[in-house]
Order: sequence, then structure tokens, then C-alpha cells
Amino acid sequence: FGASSVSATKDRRMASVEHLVLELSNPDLRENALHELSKKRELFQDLAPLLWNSFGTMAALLQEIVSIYPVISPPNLTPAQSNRVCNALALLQCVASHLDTRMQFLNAHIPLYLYPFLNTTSKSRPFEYLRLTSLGVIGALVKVDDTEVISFLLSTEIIPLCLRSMEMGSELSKTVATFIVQKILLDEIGLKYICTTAERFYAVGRVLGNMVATLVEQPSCRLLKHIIRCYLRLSDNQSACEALRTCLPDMLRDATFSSCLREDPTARRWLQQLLHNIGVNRVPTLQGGGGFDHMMVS
Amino acid sequence: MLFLSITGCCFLWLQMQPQIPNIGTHVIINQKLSGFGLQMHFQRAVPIAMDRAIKEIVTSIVQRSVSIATQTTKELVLKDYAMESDETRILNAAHLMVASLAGSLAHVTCKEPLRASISGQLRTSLQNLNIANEILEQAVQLVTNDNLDLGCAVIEQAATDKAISTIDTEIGQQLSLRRKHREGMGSTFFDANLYPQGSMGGVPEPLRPKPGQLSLSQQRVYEDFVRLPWQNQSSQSSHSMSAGVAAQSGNTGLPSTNGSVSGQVNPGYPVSTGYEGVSRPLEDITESNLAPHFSASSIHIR
Repeated sequence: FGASSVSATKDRRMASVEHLVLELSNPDLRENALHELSKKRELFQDLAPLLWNSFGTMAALLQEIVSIYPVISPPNLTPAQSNRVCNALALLQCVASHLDTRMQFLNAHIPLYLYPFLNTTSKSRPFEYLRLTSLGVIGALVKVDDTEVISFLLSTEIIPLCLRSMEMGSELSKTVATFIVQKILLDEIGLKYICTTAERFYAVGRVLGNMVATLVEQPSCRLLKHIIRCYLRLSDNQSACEALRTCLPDMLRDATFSSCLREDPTARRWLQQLLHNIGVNRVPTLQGGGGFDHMMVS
Repeated sequence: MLFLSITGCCFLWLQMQPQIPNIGTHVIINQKLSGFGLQMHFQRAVPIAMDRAIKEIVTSIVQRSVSIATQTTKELVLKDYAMESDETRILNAAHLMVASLAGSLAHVTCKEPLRASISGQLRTSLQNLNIANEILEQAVQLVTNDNLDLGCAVIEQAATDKAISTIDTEIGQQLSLRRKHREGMGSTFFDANLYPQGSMGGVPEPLRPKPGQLSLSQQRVYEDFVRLPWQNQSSQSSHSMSAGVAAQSGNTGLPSTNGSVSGQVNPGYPVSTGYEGVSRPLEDITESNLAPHFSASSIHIR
């Protein structure tokens, strides 16, 4: 009895999800369907293949994305428009997360339609929410440590766009953007990409440093943790490691963040490792400046 | 560019000359300028500046937009129309989609670079006029804002045209393969490779692409690309090259580059004249009831 009741509930739930997916392709029913599906997306684990394989659903979701472009500049996004497109983005996040649909999602270049959103600068809530949700889609892609995903993203403008959110976003946006950069750095080709030129390294280093400085006024332990992880990973590259000796913020070397670090042994360990990696007890390189000095155009 | 991006560039990029039909008849020369004796200068300078500004950025913008839109369209249309036996329908859906996506991407991407480019070109062409800097700058801003949508529309159109010809090449091969296959088999072709065993298993009947004709509501999804997003915005003053742009501003469409200018350069321009601020108000919209349902917990980061 118990088992059949569970299975009946499951069938009912599935039927309602299928119905909602069908409604996505009808412009008159779409807004409600987006709302309902984005609420239910966690309950139905195979929503992603359903969204991808059903006729016209991805096309309909793309229409939702590009229909917002005209209100980006000048910035006129209303809360209702923001909510609606964010519901569509939540479904795209679902497709980006699922193993069976992730590569097709990438291959169709769908993440690139989110970049105009990441490029916005308005600090109003509808825009902040739009950027955060868009970052969530990219975050879902990088979460799985797939080097193909990283290669794809590096062939696009993702790093400057993340840096922009790390500079001007809310604490939550900063955290997701830093998480994305961290995941890119943790990949071998990502680290190489960032450390290939001094300009790239310093672009990342400057933004990380600025975030550390703002954390003094507005502490966030989870953001601090991602920043430390980024620095630690950068220190795996020899040139970057040399450069960090001079450009790592002093606040990471003193007790500024001790209250955060006391709560988080992992972050503490990472920071110790970072300080050890750039420590003075290491043998200095023979050629003068070390770090990126030899790469800088004078 | 610091972080260079080459996004999926998998087709031959032919030298593209942007088609700018009589841009001189479409540019807007704000009447405010005439009160200050600047109108004649701008009449001559604006069409040239617009032309140069567009040419400066159109190639890279169109290339990126068309490349992305083509890839998206190819993947999604071939997936959705895997069971369709009428190639004309497939091509039609692909045209509607790729035109809309490429145009939208080009428009949204070009706006800020084009703004900078138009202003720069105007400054360069007017710098020898001995106009007070402050006045020149305000006039440049005014004219740039007035003509930005026109330039965006030109670039959007260039992307749309290029996208349609590109998708024909990209999808054409696959479609002719299908045609041959069907003629050889004498039966309806569907692309079995697209749906390997099991991948369609989870998709219930009403949601699947079906052999034969699609339902009306299914066809409509692709037809809906036509009404997106700048093309049909009646409420906004977006330009459309075909709709007689010059008429809507209350300014006359002026002859473009060849008019001999009789107006004198006026160095004694009265600086104190009340010149309204020309930059667009950028203050953010009021936010009332944005549901904060994006809680910290739903983002799932470790």
C-alpha cells in the first residue's frame, strides 16, 4: 500500500510537470508555467532532459532571455520582468546542472545569451537579481570540474564579466562570481590562462585585493574563503607566486580576519598553505625581479 | 582586448561591407543645435561620423553575434525538427530563429561601443571648429543619443542578413543529406542518431517531436521569434530603416554629405545660453515588490 501510494504521488507530480513544460511553449500560459516550474525544479530530478528534449522549450526559454535585452540600456527592467526572466534562468540552470544535458547546453552556446545581463551595471534590485541568477547558471556549469566546460568558458568573455561582478555586485553575487573564478583557476588550463600574461594576473589580483579590503567593513566568511582559495591556487603558478609576495594584501597576513578564520578550519589551513607558499623561507629566483616583471611591457 | 574571446568561429568570414542605405536621410539633427549656429556643421558631420562609427565596430559585432546565433539555431532546430520530413519547414524555422537571435545579440552588444564610437568620430570631425569645449561636448552627446538607435538598427540589420545567409550554408548540407536519404529510402526520414536509444524515453508523448507534421502550437514557438524584441516595439522610439526614421523626430531628413555649407563658424558663441542637460536620466526604476525568493541557500555553492 505504502509503495503504491508513493508511486501514485510520483506519477501525479510528473504529470503536472509535463503539463507545465507543455505550457511553456504557449506565450499566454508561459509566465505561470515558468513560475510553477522554477518552484518545482528541485522536486523533479529529471526535469532537465524533459526541458531539453521537448519540442520548442529551449527556443521558448531563449525568447524569454532576448526579450529582456531592450530594457538593459537604458536600464528599465521592472521587478516583474526580472522575476519572470529569472524563473527562465532557473530552468536553464537546471539544464546546465544535469549530466545528460550539460554538454548539449554548452554546444548550443546558450550561456553566451546571459552575458549581456552580466555586463549590466545598474545597482537596482531587479538588475542585481538578474546578474545573480545568471551567475548561478554559470556556477552550475563549473561546479562539476569538467575541463571541457572550462575550455568553453575561457573561449568567451567570462573572466572580465566575473571580475565586474566581483567589483560591483552584492555580497552574494561577489561570492558566486568568485566561486566561478576559483573553479576556473582550479582547472589546469584555467590557471595557465590567467597566468599567461602579467596583465591578466594583475587584473584578477587587483580585484581580489579590492574585495579583501571591502571585507574589513563588510565581513563575509564565505566570500573570504573563496578569495583565499583563489590566492592559494594562484600560488601554484611560479610567476604568480612570486608576484603574490608583493601584492598579497597585508590584511591576509595579520589578524584582521581572525574571527572568520577561527570558525573555519579549512579556510585557515588554506591561508596557512598560501602564506607558506609565498613565504620568505623559499629560495628566491635568480633573475632580478621574479614574478611577472620579465613579462611586463615597460 | 585583455581577455580575447574567439567564440566558436567555425565558418568562413567573408569581407563584409555594411549596407548603410542613405544614412544621411535618416540621421537626426536636433533643432536645439540650430539656435547656436551648429546645425549646418552637424548636418555635414553626422552622416560621415555615423558611417565611420558603424564601420568601425560592425564587423566584429556581426561576426560574434552570427557565430553564436548560428550555432544555437543549428543545434536547437535540428533537434526539434529531427522528425520533420519537409525541409522547407525546417529552414523556415531556422531563419526565424537565427535572424532574431543574431539581431538581438548584435543590438545589445553594439550599443555602448557604438555610443563611444559615434561620439569619438564627431569630436574628431568637429574639433577644428573653434567651438567652446563644453558646448561641443554637449552637442556631441545630444547628437549621439539622438542617432544611437539608428546605428544600432543598422548593425542589427547587418547581423540579421548575415545570419540568414550563414545558416543556409550551415544547415543546407544536413538538409540535403536528409533529402537524399529520404529519396533513397522512399520513406519518411528522421534522424535516428539524434535520439539514441533511451534519450527520448523520459519524454512523454505530447512533448516529443513527432514524425510528420507538427501541431500548430508547436510551429508557433518558432514563429514567435518574429515578434522579438526590438523589431516590434511600438512603445519605444526605436528606429526602423524602412519606416521613415526621419519623420518621427520632427526634424527634416536632410541631404547628406554634399551640401555646401554657408553657415559661418561662430567663435563668439554665447556660452551662457541655457543648454539643457542632454544625457539620458539613468536613475533606476522604482522597486516595489521584487520577491526576494533568491535566498542564499538556493544557489548551492560549496
